[in-house]
Amino acid sequence: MHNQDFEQSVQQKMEELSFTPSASVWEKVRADIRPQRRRRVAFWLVPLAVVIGAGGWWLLQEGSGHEVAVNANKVPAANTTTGINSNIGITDDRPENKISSTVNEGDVAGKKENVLVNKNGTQQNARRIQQNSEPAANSSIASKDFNQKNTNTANGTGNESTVAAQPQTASRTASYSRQIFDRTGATQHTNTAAIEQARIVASISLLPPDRNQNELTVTGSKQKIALLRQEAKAVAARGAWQWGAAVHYGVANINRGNMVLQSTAADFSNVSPWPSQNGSSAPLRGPNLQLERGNYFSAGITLRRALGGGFAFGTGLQYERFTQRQMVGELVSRLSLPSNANADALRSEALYRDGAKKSYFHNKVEQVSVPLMAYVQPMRRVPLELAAGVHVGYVAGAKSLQYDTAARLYYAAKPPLNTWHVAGVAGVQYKIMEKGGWQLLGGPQVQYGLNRRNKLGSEPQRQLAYSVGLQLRRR
Amino acid sequence: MDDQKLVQLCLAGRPDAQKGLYERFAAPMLGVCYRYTKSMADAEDVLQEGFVKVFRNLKQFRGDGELGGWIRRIMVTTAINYLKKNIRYQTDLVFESEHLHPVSTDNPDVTLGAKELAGLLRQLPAGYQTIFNLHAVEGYTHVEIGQMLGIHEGTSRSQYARARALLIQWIKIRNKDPKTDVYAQSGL
Repeated sequence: MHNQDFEQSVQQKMEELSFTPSASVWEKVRADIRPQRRRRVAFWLVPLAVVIGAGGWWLLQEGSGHEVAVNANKVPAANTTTGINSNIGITDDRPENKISSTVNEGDVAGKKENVLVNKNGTQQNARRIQQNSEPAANSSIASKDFNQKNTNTANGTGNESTVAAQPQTASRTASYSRQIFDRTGATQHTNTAAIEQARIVASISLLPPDRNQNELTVTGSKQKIALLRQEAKAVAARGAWQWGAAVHYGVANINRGNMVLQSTAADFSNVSPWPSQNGSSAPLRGPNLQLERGNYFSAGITLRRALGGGFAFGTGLQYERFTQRQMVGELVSRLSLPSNANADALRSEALYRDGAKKSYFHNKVEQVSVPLMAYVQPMRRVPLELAAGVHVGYVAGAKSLQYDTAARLYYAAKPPLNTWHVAGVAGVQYKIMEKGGWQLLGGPQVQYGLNRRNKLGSEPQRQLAYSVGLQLRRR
Repeated sequence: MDDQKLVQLCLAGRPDAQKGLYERFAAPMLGVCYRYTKSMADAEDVLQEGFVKVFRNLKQFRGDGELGGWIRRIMVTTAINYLKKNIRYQTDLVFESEHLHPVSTDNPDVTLGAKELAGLLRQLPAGYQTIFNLHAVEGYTHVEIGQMLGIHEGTSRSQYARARALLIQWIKIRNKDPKTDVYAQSGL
C-alpha cells in the first residue's frame, strides 16, 4: 500500500504551484483562435493577387508597344514596321498606295514630327526613286528631304505634300511603311535608302508584333493621328488637374471605440434595441460597436495635380465604412438576465428573442474624409506610384443591425458620435491599363487612424485598415 | 463573473471574455505545464497549445464540473502529447517494464516549498516525471495512465514506484541540506 500521506502532501504542494506566463503567450493564443478570419482574408487575397497579376501582365504587353513608339520618335527614320507590313497585302490599285505622302502632324510635345507614309517595296526601289527622279521631284519626296517638306509648309502648301507616283513596278503586295521622323535626325541624312537598311537592322529588336503597330498599319493615318493626339493630350495634362474615382476594400481593426458605451456588462442590456430601457430619455447604453476585426470599404472621387518630376498632389472626397458581423449570442435563452430595475423589460426582450439559435450584430461605422495625398513615380518607365498622406474626416455615425437565426431583425439605437477622425495612409499604385485617355491603377494601401475622444467620454478609437483598391483616373 | 457566463461570452466571440478566461486560469495552468516539462519555455508552449484547444473546444464544456478542472485535463493531455512529439523528451520518455520495486513506506515531511518540490520533480526522467504527476498529483489510476500513455498497467506501477522512491530520497537529502545536488547523488 502506498503511504497516502506523501501523495496528499505532494498534491497539496503542487496545487499551490503557479507562475505568471509571459505576455507573448496570450498574443499567440489570440492569434491562433482566429483561424477562420485568416482563411477568409486569404480567400479574398488570392483572387485579388490573380487580378493584379493579370493586370500587370497586360500592362507589360501594353508597355512594350509604347516602348516602340517612344523609340520610333527618337530614332530618325526608323522603319518600325518591317516585319509586319509584308503581311498586310495592300494592292497598288488603291490610290493611297500609288503615292508616297508625308503627313506633318501638329506640334506634339514641343517637337514637330513628320510622319511619312511611304510605299517602298524594297530597298532597291527606294534607291531607284532617289536616283531616277528629277532634282525638284527628288527634293519633294518627303522621306528623303525633310527641309523641302518644311519649305512647303512655310510656303503655305499645307502639311501634306504629295509626291508624284514613281514608276514603281513593285509587287502588288508592297509594304506599307510607317516612319516617324525626328526633324533634326532626318535632316542629317540624305541617303535615306542606304541608311534605312542599317536602321531596319537596328530596329528589329524594337519590333515585337504588338497590336498597336498592327492597328496603326492597318487603319492607316487616322489611327496614327489619334495616337498622336492622345500623346499631345498627355503632354498637355502635365500640370493640369486630373480627376477620377477610387474604391478600396479590405480588412480593418477598430479597437476601443467611442462606440463602446458602458458595455462592460455582459448581458443584453448593452445591446438592447430599445434605447430608453433604463428610463432615461437619452440612450445611455448604446450598442456594443467595438469592432475587433471587420471589413473596410471606401469609395470617393479624386482630384490630382501633377507637379512634374514624377511628383503629384491629390485630394478629393471619400466615404469610408467599417463593418463587422459579430455573434452576440448562441442559444440566447440561456443567457442570464441582469438583476436590475429593468429586469422585466429585459426578460421580455430575451423571451422575444428566444427560439433563435444564434444572434448577430451587423455593426457599421461610417465616416467622410478628405484625403491629402502626395504621389511620386520613382522610376519613369515603370508605372509604379508610391502614395502617402493623411485623411482628415468626420465620423458620421455608428449603426448596428441585429438579426438572428429566426429571421428577426432589430435596429439597434446608437448615439451620434460627432467626432473627428485623422488617419495616416500609405500605399502603392500600379497602372494596370490605359485606354482612351483613362488610366486604371490598383494596389494595396494601409491606413492607421485615430478618432478624437467624443463628448461621451469614451476612449479614443484606433483604426487600422489594410485594403486593396482600384483608381480610375482621367489623364 | 461566474464560469458559465464567462464561457457563454467566449462562445459569443467576445475578446474581452476570452482574455478574462485566460487571465483567470493561465497562472495555475502554467504550474501544471511546468510540472510536466523540463523548462519554462516548454511549459509556455504547452500552455499556449492548451489554451488554443480550450477555446476551440469550449462548446464541449457542458458546465457539469468545474471549468478549472476541465481546462486542467486539457492541459495535462496537451502536455503528454507535447512530450511524445518533442524529440528532446522522446529518448527520456521510454516506459520500459521494470521489475516491480517495493514501494517505500517512508513518509518524509514535505517541508519544501511548491516550487522547490516541483524542481525536484522535474529532475526525474521524463517517464517517471509524467507517471508520478499523473498518479500522485492528478489522481489518475494506473489503468487510466496505461491507456493514456499506451503502456501496460504494470509498467505504470513499477515506474511510479521508482519515481516515488527517487523523489523521497531526494526530499530527505534536501531536508538535510537544501543546497545538495540531488541529481548528482542519485546516480541517474
